[in-house]
Amino acid sequence: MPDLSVTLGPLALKTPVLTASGTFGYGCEYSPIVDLARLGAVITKSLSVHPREGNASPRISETPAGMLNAIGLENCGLESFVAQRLPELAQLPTHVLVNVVGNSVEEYATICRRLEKEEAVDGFEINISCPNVKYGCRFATEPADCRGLVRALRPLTKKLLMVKLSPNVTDIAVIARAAVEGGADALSLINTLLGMAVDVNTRRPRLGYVTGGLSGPAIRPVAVRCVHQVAQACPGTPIVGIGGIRTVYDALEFFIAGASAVQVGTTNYLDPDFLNRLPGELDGWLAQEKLSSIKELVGTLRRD
Amino acid sequence: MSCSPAADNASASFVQSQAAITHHAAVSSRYFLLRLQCEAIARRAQPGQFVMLACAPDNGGASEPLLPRPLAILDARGAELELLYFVSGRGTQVLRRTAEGARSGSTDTRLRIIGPLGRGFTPIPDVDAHVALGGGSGVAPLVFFFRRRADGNAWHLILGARTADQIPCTEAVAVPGHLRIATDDGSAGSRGTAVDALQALLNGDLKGRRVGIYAAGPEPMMRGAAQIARTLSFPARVSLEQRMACGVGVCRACVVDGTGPHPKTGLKRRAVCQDGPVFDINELAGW
Repeated sequence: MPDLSVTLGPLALKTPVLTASGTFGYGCEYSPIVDLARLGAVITKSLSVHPREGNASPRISETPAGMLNAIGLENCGLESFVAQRLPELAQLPTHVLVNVVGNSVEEYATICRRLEKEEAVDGFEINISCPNVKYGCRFATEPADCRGLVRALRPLTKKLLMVKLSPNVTDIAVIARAAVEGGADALSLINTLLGMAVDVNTRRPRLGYVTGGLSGPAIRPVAVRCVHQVAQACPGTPIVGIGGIRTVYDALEFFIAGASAVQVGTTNYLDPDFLNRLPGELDGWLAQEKLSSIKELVGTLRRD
Repeated sequence: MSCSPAADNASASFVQSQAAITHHAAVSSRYFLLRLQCEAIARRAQPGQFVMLACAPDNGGASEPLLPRPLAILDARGAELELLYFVSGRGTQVLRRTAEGARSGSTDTRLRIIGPLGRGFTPIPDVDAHVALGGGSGVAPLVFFFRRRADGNAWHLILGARTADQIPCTEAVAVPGHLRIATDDGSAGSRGTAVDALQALLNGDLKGRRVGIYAAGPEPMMRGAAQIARTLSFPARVSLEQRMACGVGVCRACVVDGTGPHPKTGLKRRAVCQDGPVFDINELAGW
């Protein structure tokens, strides 16, 4: 049986299949139908220091091969997370990464500092790229701000420190390098693409927040391109590919382009069983290609 | 299983499956009855719960539209699940095409399905009578509720529609208890809205009785029923509809505001899919 294990910084994962933040709750919601033990890690919904009610409805709108969302980082806040969610997360038969958001370096730091001592938490995905909140983008678009943020967080944790990048930039490689210079163990990409849809009958935006983040198969080519660029720019830094993965072949594209692992997001909504199937399908494909490990596939894009 | 935030509500035991279409037929000018082979969901289904149903077969991951649609359960018998739907947009249009093209029971046209989901209807305690108002997509959950729970003369179901031809055929909505029809143009049953029929019932046969009120369907109808319940201090429950992506509480697309902090999150938001779709009106802000 081919080896699916991968390493992201200090963290060894059983499989390279993770769940994208915001599409899998806190891991437990899908536990009746998803075998969490076969996942490399679960990534929680974004967590902020203070509770957030999120944006006004409507919060989603379906688009060709995708969807727009403007949830607005609705979450219970750090204190409630520790009291209500951590005990459940400690029971999960897989690693748990907490997706962290903040309006300032200090807010990100507060969460990392508080959760560093919690055994249930195996690492952090630093969300610098949510398009659906005011000030959501500074750390994602300004290399110096990104570097400064990661540099401030690095001393606070020995756990995995992964930075989630936005595609809504001129050159994602520049931001990726800044995050690595700041001390990121790994990079995950991409977050959603900023988009918008209009109801022509009412002439109103289809989302309460007007604009939203586009996800689903529609964005996959953009995500694969970004992974390829970042892999070139940051050799040696593990990349977790995200964006419209709907079949095993979609996931394979990301590995070949340079990702060490992948996250499944929007597909969870329509086919949560995909998470059960994907590790086995990767196994099967590797065996068929006579590869003994997923690591042998990473970054094997041919240009000849 | 130790990890079960869902254990404290009815969505604890949902399953995912691929269901074959065994029957599809128009049951009025508006509604279609869709029967699916899906024992695991049929066995668990409770009135007022719903399923997330793909509109087309997977087709190697290329099916459109991408997202499943939340559809209320009309009935569950043995291994079969019945859904009542009408075409309201692109998704249900594709679903209709899929269902009409399906050979009965064919595995080529199996649809991905997740369910049963959400908290459904249960009888309101300590009342003399029960009156339910259904319209639009709210017909299915109330018919199912009556078939499972109604016993005797104290149960009244009022179905509202614009015209007689929109009312599903008698067989599709046969329930124990009293069935009343209200149409805007008077072409069937009483002339007027379901809310008018509720008012008439409360002023007539049920005068002086304490009544539990249930409503599912268009928002003006549910708000009209809630208004009457408030005026008379009667308990009332409504089944809300919102756009959904996941149906299990993770995407947070379908939220509405509750009256107090959510016991789990501390937020005022409630997920219609997980905390509802059926809510006591006292749980909802602005109702």
